[in-house]
Amino acid sequence: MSTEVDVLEQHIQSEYKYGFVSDIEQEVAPKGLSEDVIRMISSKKNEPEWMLEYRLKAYRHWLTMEEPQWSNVNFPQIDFNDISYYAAPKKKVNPKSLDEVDPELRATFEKLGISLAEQERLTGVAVDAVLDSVSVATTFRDSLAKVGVIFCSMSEAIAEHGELVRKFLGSVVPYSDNYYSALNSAVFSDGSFCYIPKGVRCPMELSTYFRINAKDTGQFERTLIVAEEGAYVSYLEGCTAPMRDENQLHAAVVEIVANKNAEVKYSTVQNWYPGDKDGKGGIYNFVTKRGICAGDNSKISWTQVETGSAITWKYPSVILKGDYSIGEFYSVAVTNNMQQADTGTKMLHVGKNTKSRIVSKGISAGKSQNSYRGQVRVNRNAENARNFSQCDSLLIGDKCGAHTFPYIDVLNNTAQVEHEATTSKIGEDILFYCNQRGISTEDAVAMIINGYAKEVLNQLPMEFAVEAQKLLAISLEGSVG
Amino acid sequence: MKLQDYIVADYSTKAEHLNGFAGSRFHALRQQAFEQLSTQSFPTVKNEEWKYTNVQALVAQTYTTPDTTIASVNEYCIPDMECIKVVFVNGEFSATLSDSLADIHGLTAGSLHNEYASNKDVIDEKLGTAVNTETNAFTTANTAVMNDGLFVNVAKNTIIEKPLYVLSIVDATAGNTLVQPRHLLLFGENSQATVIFRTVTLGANSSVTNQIVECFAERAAIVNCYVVQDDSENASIINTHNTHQNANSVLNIVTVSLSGAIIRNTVGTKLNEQNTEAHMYGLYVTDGKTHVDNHTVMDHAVANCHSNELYKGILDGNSQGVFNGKIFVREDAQKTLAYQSNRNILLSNTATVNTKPQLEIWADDVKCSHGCTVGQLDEEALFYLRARGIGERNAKALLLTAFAEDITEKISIEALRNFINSKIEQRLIQ
Amino acid sequence: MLQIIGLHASINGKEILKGIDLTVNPGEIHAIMGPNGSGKSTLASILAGREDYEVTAGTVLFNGKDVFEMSPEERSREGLFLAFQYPVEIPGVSTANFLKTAVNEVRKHRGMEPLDAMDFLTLMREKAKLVEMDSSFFSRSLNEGFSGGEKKRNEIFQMAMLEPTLSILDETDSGLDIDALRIVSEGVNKLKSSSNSTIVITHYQRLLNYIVPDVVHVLYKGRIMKTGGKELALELEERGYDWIKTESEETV
Repeated sequence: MSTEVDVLEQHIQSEYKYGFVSDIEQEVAPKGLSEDVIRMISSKKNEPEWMLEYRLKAYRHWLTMEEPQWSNVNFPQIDFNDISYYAAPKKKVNPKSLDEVDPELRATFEKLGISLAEQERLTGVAVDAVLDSVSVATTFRDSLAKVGVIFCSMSEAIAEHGELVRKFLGSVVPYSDNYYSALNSAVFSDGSFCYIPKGVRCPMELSTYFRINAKDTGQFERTLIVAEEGAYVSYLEGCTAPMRDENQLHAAVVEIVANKNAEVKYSTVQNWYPGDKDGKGGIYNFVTKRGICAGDNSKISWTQVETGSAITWKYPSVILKGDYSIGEFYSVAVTNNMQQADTGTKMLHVGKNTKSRIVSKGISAGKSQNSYRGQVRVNRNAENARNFSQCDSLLIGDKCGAHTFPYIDVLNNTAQVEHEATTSKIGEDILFYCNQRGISTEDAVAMIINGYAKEVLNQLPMEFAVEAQKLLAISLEGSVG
Repeated sequence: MKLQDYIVADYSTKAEHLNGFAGSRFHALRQQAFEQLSTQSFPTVKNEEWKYTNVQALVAQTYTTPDTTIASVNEYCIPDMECIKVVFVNGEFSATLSDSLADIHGLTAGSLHNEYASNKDVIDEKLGTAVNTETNAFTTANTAVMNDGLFVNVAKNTIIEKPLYVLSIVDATAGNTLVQPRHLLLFGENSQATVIFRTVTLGANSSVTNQIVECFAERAAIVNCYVVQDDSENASIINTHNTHQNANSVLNIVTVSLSGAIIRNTVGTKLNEQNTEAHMYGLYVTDGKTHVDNHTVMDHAVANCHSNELYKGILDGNSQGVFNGKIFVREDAQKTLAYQSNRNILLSNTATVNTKPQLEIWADDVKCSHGCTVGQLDEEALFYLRARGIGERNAKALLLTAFAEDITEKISIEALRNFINSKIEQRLIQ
Repeated sequence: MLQIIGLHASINGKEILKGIDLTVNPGEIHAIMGPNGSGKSTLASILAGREDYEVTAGTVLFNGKDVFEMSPEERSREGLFLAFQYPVEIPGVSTANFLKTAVNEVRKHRGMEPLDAMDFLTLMREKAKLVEMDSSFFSRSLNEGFSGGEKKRNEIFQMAMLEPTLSILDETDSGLDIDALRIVSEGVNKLKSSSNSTIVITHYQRLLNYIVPDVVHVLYKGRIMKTGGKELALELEERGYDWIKTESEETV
């Protein structure tokens, strides 16, 4: 038996590839949070008065709130006054073309495998790149504008499409929703805004890359996606951060509005720095993501591949308000070493004939703890609601843990709710069995992990599915043997 | 006489006619249970284990003792099924109606009452050890008056090719009737055998069968138990069926409930030694006022065992289905595989399902899953069939039969499988 | 084919095998019988390369090569197949995907081209018939939710797919009812040829009615106490293992 543990140990030595720090001149706000800091952020960004008011309201509300304690994660108390709430590259912020982007910055994104120029030329994926608090470049804006799609940084959106932003911001996740959404609403610095007008099928994948670079800063980005009647968009976000010994806070808010017959597909490949093998450093990822199927026949689909962060606390949710609307959640959450994840989804059935589907695949290795927490609620008038949930946990080695907390509340008797859960373990016996059939340990692990996560990876746009598959292999490299 | 009084009288009668049981462990068990019974009451819906099953009507009604003569049981047999027939009338073994049980190689079988004299040691060793009289008055009542039932002992390395068909006839023509059979089944090392249980009620009064089956599977034994519940609408059954399994043994138990008044099955197996395998299946296809309650207990006491449980229900009319499945994975039971699933289809607005899967896991290296569904017939599938020209009634029957066959296909005896499938089909097509 | 010379092995310092000598020639079927805890499954595990056991002395040659120099997967690719007593369940990996990986590894080792999807499917369908396995199993996760009997059938199906030269059936009969036992045995018999060999490990004689051995060995307390023809198995069934125990105590 000891051999199992040994080999497992040996294997838990995966390296975080994106842990470099870029040498970019930064403008960083002093640590701490106050109304003055909020005013400073707002004025740096030349925001209209309503925006500042919104931020201040959120901040005042935040002061009355307490940090939530219910999740299944443990970490030391965060000192919210020891964080800087704004960091930006000093050089020109709103480049007209890619040539104007700071070469060091461009190099940073090239290292991440996101060559902005290449992206523009070859892949046909529009990219918004966000470094620390600000968006540094958005590609393909012109071609998108031709079909009426707005894809830009949130700061620009506030400046140029103020009324649109004002209409939808906070409409799905009100600042009072929870502790971190209140904090985000007060201090968010940038993020992506995406608006697909009526009847438009967005001609390419939209994507945002988030990168935390500065030290002791938090990242509070804000994303808002609005799909008008009959619109379609597929959106992908990717995230990385340098290796630092201190924990860094990332508290984002993502809101999605899908109107009648609209469809939004939101995919995340989250690879924030998870900390070293002893649990030192890493990102605290406390994110509120929610979409509303506001119109009939609308559809919102969340797909996430989560491999990073020291602590993840995240429940992408769908409010199924329109009749015949559909909500989906597909997730692979990998934890290794000392990582902790408490993640899942909420499906709130409000309209009639709504459907939701939840497929959650947790993979735990090392000494990590991986929890699924999900809620399916069928309201009194939500006739003929359908839900299917599948929550599987895979344990690698014997020092990690997997937990499942499903909550099912059904208030209407025409509902059909199915929940299935399994827990399994890759142990020495499975690996020996594969060996005896001529399959090496490495191949066996890759085969099992990919087979296990297939249902979720299949949901990703093709080029990202390949990336995600590699990422899974890297994250677990060495965790089995 | 009401239930409790009737049991007291029954006990007194049995105590008067001890016939060599006096001073035996057998009788001591009865005495002990009888004393316990005076401190217990029959369960009400306040008892969590009986929350959805109200037996007060059975407790309150009066019972008489019938006097019955039956010439032939041919009409109560399963068509075309080759079997060894064991018949009980009002709880007592009938040698004349049963097939000969002598001269079957490796098999000792017969009336528990009659076999006690020659199998005293083995009966005393096992009887009463697979049930608990502390918690359930029905178990206590059965134990207090236990007298007859099937005794089976299959010898080591023996295969009994023909199934034992245990037919219990209850006569409720003159009044309400209570019978309390007690069956004890022992399967020796590396043996294989199949036992089928079925109850038939005569007459229109209420019949109550409070039956206990205690079953012991020795090392590497393969045991099949099939329980067919297709009795009259006034027939109730409280069926407790517990098995203890030793290493490498395999248990397949299929409980099919098609009609009756109140049906309560408490089916349990204890996986006492490593590498045992237990498959528990149940099907309830009900209408009218039939109430079917399936409580199951899968108790993984040791490592490396595998259990699998699938219960399916199709409920129509005002019928009610209850499922409560407990899986215990004890601290030492590492590498346990345990699957459980309960699936229900409601055909009417007035049918009810209460389902509660319950997993209690103390070991960490285990693979467990549970799932439950309550739903209606898949409208899209139905539409598809109709679009291919199949009438609505037939299309429904086709889908429902397919749903039910997941369970009936687990029955290894073709004649019995056909018998049950055709009963279900008739019901669904009507 | 297989030569075991003076094999001693222990687990956690406790000696389980105390000097095993056994030679299996091509085309032969050997049965190893013995009471529980005699070391039967330990022997199978050591031959396949399970690492829980420590080999303290002895040599095992498979086709002239020292098996202790080879990893479990190398032994498999060389043609040694173990039908597990307790096959594991592998979540998320279909039987088809698992076997395709395994078969192509073996082919690569033998210098053959990998099979493409179509040829592979044809091969699977053909071999599945041997053990009357339904093709719906192909797409299900390997062994997941299978009954004990189905898992054993799947083992023999894999054996048919991998075409080993030496197959070790470790208590393949346990958990099988009489009908399944017949099917599995027929499958094994159809796979038999003059160039491959089989070692059947069993506790009970019943299996040997269907897979008739050339040689029967009785393993007791880590040693082969008696070797004989197929009649020996019947004698063991009749008399139990106690007389072997008595005989062995007399000789010791």
